[in-house]
Amino acid sequence: MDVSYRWNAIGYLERLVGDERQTVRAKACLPGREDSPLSIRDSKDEEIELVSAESTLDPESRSALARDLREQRFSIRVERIVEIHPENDLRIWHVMGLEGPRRFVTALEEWPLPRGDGYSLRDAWGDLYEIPAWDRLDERSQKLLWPLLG
Amino acid sequence: MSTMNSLEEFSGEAARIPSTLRRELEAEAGVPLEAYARLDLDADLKSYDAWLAVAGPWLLEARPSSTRKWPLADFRKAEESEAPSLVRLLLSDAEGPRIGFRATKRHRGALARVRSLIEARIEDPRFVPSAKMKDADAGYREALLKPVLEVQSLSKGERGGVLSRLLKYVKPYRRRLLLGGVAAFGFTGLSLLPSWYTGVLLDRILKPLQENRLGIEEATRFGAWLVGALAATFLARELLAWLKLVSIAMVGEYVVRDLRRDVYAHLHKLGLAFFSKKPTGGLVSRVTSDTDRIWDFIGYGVVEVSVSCLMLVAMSVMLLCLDWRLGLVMILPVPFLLYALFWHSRRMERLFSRAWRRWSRLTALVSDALPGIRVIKAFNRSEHEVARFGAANDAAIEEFGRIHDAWTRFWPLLMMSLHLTVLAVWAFGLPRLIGTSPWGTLTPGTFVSFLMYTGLFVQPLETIGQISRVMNRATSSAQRIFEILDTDVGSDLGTGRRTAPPLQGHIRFENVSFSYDGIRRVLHGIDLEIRPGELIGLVGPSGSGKSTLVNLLARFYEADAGRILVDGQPIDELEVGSYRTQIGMVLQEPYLFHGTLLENIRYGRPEAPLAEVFAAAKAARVHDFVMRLPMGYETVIGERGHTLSGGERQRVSIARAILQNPRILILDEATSSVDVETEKAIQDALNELVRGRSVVAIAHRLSTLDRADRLVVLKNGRLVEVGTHRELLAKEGGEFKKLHDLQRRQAEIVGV
Ligand SMILES: Nc1ncnc2c1ncn2[C@@H]1O[C@H](COP(=O)(O)OP(=O)(O)O)[C@@H](O)[C@H]1O
Ligand SMILES: [Mg+2]
Repeated sequence: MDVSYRWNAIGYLERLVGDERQTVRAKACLPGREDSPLSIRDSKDEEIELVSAESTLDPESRSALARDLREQRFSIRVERIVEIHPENDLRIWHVMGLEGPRRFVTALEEWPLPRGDGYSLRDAWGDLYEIPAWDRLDERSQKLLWPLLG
Repeated sequence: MSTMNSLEEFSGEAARIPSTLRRELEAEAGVPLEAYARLDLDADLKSYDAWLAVAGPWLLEARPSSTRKWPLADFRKAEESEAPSLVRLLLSDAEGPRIGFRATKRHRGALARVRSLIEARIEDPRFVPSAKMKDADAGYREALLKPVLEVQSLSKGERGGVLSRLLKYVKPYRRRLLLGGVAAFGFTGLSLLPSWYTGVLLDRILKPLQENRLGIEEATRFGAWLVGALAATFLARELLAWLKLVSIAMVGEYVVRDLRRDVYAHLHKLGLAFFSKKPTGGLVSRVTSDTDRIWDFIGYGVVEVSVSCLMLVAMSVMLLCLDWRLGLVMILPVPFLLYALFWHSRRMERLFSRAWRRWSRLTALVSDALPGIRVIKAFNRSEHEVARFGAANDAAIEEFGRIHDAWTRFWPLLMMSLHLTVLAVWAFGLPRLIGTSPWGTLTPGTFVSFLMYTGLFVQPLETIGQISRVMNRATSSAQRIFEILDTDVGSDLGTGRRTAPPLQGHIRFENVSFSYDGIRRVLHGIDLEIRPGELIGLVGPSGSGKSTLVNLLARFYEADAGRILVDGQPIDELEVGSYRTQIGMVLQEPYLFHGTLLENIRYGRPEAPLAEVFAAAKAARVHDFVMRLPMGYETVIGERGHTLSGGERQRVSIARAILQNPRILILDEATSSVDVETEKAIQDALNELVRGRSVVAIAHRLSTLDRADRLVVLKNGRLVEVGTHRELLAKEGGEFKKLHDLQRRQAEIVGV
C-alpha cells in the first residue's frame, strides 16, 4: 500500500497509509548530513520504517519530512556575544540572537565546539546555540569568545 | 529571595508568570493555577511568547494578546517529544491529535510538570495532587533551575552571608587566630628593621667617623651593637614567622575539618530523596575539594593578604616618617601598580582558561584510551592513539607557551615601573643629598634605606593581585557546602520516636498510594497482608512500582496516603534505626565497602562472634570460595582490593543479611544480574536466608519464585492479582499467566 507523509494543521508530521493516519516523527540517523536516512518513529519512540534517498515518495511527502527535520535541526542562532562571565563555577552568557537577546549558563567545562565553519554550544538545559564563523563575529564577540576556544 | 535572582540572572526568564496574565487566567478558570510553563517557540519555530497552564479542569494558554482554554476532559492523551534543542507537547482527543505546543529545551521540566498534571486529570478528573507537589510558582522555578543546579549544584546566595558564616566556624579558634595575627604584626614590623639599620649605620657611624666626630673604638662598639641587633631581629622575625604559620595554618585545617565533619554528618541525616536528585560525584567533591579551597582561603587569603596589606601600610608610614617628600614619591605609584597587577591577573585567567581546555582534552584522551587498551591492541590502533595524543599534547604546549609569554612580558614591565620609582627616588634624592635642592637636605642613610625598601614592595603587591581569584573560588565552594548544610533533613525519615520492639513480621499495606513528585502516582491504593514467615513473590513489568513498594516498607520514603503496619504498628511511628536493623535487604547491585570480607559480612553487626560469621558465610555459600583465597576472611575487597565476581559479591551481601538476622527480608532482583549457574548458587544461599522470615522477593525470572507462598502481581502501580503460583497460572488471560508464557517462550528460544 502507498505510504505518504503530510505536515498537518497543528504542526505535526503524519504518516498516511490508505485511510490510516498516524502522528510520527522523523529522526535523522546522521543529523549532521543533509542526505541522512530518516528513521520514522511512533509516539513510543519505536521505528516504523527507514526512509532513505532511494525510497519512493511523492514530493509533498518529502517536503513534509523536511519540515519535521527542521525541528530536529533547530538551534538558536547567535549573532553576537554581549557578555560572558564566570559566576560561582558557572559561565553566564548573554548573547544577541536572530530572535532577540538571550541569556543562558553552561558548566565551566562546556566549550564551544567547531561545527561547520562556526561553533556550536550546548547550555545547561540542553539548548543548542550556533555561533557564526570567527571572521563573521564583531570584535567584542571575538574577544569574549577567544579564551574559550582551544 | 536569592534563587529568584539567580533564575533571572542565569536564564533571563521571568521568575514566575506575570501577575496580570495570572489574574486573567485564574479569572478565566475560576480556580488558582496549579502548574504552568512558558512557550517560546511557535509552530514555525519562530520566537513566541506565551504561557501554558493547568488550573482545575482547564488547560489554558495566555498570549500577550489573547487567551485560549480547553476542558481537560476533552483530551485522551498528552505526549512529549524531544528534538536536540526543543520539546513538543502534543495533546490528542478521541479523534486524534488536537493541539501542539513548542518550547526550547530550557522549558522541558516545567512542561513535563504540566503534562503530568494533564495526564493525571485525564486518568481521574478529580485528581488532587499530594502535599508533596510544589505550588505553581515554586514548581516552575524549581523545574527551570534544576538542570543548572545539576551542572553546578549551587544556588547563588549573597557573598557577605557566606563570609560571615565561615567566620562562625573560625570563632572557636579565635585565640589561635589572634596569636597568629599578633605574630604577623610583629613579623611585618621586624621585616622593616634591617633596612632602617643600614640607614643608621651610614648616618650614625660611617658619616660621623669620616667627619672625625666619632672615634674608631666607639664606632666599633656601636657597629657591634648594630650587628647584634640585626641578628636578634632576624632571629625574632623567623620565630614570629613560624608562630604565624603554625597558628594560622592549623586554624585553616581545623575549620576545614569541622566543616567536613558537619557536611558528612548532615549528608547521612538527609533522606534518600536528596541523593536521587544530586549526582554522587558532586557530593564527593563537596566533602573533599570544596573544603580544601576554603583552607586556601583562610590559610592564604585571609592571612597572606592581610599581612601584605599591613606590610604596605607599615612601610608607607615608615617611609613618610623617615622623609615625607621622598616617601610620597614612592607611595604615589602604588595604586597604579596594584591596578596593573589586577589587570594582569584578569588576563592570565583568560589564558589559563584556554590552556585548561586543552589540558582537559589531553587528560580525557588518556583516561579514555587506557581502560580500553585491550581493544586498542586488538584492533592494532596503538599508533593512531599515540599520534592523537601527540597532537593534543602539542596543542596544550602551545597554550602554555602563551602563558609563559605573558608572564615573561609582564614581569619585566612591572619591574621596570619599580625601577622607574627607584630612578625617581634617585633623581629627587640626589640634589638633596648633595645639598643643591631647595627641598632641604637628605642624609645618605635615609637615602639607602629608601632604596632598600623599594625591594620590599614587590611581594605584597603580587599577593594582593591574586586575591580576587582566591576569594571567588573559596566563596563559591563555601556556598556549595552551606547548600548541603541548609538542606532540611526533611520528613523522609518521619518523626517516629518509639523504639521498635522485636518484630514478628506481620506486614499490612492499607490503601497505600505514593508518588515521587506529588503529581505522577507510582502506587495506587495498595492493600496487602503478609503473614509472619510468609514468602511473597512480587512480580510485574519493569516500572510497575515493585522497588517503590519495598522502599516504602524499608522506610526510604513515606507513603502519601494510606499506611503500612508491622505487627499492628504504623511504621512511621517507629524510630527509623531500630526498625531498619530488623529489615534485611539484598539488592540487585550489592554494595560492598572497601575493607576485608570479615568487615563486610559483619557490617550490620560488628560485634557478631566469629562462629556466627562462619555459619552465615556457610549458609550463604561464601565460606568455600573465601577459604580458597590466600588471605581468607582478611582478603581486602572493593576499590583497589581483590575483585569478586558478581555472584560472589551477591553471596557476600546475603551472608551479611543472614548474620543480621532480620525479621523482614527484602530481595529486590537479587539474582537478576548474574548468569544461570551463579543464580543456582545464590538461590541455594537465599533458601537458607528466607527460612522463618517474612520475605518480599522481587524477581525478574519468574521461575525463581517457585517456592513463594503467594505471588503478588503489580501493573502500573496497581495490585492486579494475588494468589499461589498454581492459582495464578490457572487463570486464563491473567497478567501472571501472560508474563509466565512470555518468559517460557523466550527461554525456549535461547534454549535455557
Ligand atoms: N527516585 C525516583 N524518582 C522519581 N521517579 C522514580 C524514582 N524511582 C522510580 N521512579 C519511577 O517510579 C516508577 C516505578 O519504578 P520502580 O518502583 O523502580 O519500578 P520496578 O521496580 O517495578 O521496575 C517508574 O516509572 C520510575 O520511573
Ligand atoms: Mg526495580
